[in-house]
Amino acid sequence: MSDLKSDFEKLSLDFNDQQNVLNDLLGARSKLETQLQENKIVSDEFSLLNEESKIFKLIGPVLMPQDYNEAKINVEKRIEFINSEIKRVESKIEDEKSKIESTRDKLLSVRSKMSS
Amino acid sequence: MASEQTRKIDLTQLQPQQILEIRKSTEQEISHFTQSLQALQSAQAKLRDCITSIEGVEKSNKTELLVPMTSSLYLPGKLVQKDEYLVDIGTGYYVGKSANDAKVVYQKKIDKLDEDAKKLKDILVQKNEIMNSINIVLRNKVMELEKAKTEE
Repeated sequence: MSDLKSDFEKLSLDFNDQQNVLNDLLGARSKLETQLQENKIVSDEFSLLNEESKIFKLIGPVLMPQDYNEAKINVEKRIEFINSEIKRVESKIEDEKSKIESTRDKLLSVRSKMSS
Repeated sequence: MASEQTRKIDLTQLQPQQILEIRKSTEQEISHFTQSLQALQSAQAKLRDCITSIEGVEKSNKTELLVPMTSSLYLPGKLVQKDEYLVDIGTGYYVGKSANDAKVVYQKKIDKLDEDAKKLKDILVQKNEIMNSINIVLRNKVMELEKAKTEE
């Protein structure tokens, strides 16, 4: 009986931990989404500009003049990077969800053993 | 809409405790969306300020203005040219634009926010409907329980 009880406690701790991890991951996912949207807006804006446009980038407190093509490539790279990050986080989220699923199954089986 | 249907059917079969849980999470969702809506509206107000600022500069014939050095210290300055603005297009990039182009950028952003706000409002209406049905089911449950008690 005490074995079952300690199993149960351990599993529910695991379950809580996994849920916290999942919440963190979901937070990271939505942050990435925000960044992606912002970069997309910038990229849309760049597509309306041309090489004569004056482009600056705010670095710390200073506005640095930027080359149009360079800035455009930079933003496109950022979008690519963010997309790959989103994929990475999403696969982690799937992993964590399946982990939670299996922990919950174990928890339920231990609980039914305890009550019987 | 199908998911909502199943949800409604589920509700009447749940324990009051579980319905309370659902109500709590729905409440949280509603307050989350309300906050987002407010954030959108304040962002829109800021963008409108940008447009009115540009229009103000365009209309006035004077070139003197006070330049803010800090939030409480201003220095008198002079406008050298009136038709070029640096517009923040996001992620730290600024672009030099004419007054009209700058206004177009801001107007586009405002329109986009309008769309988003509309979507959010739709979601909020839906959530409030769900909230109402939860409350109705909950009230019926309580009444049933009380009836069962008096019959005992």
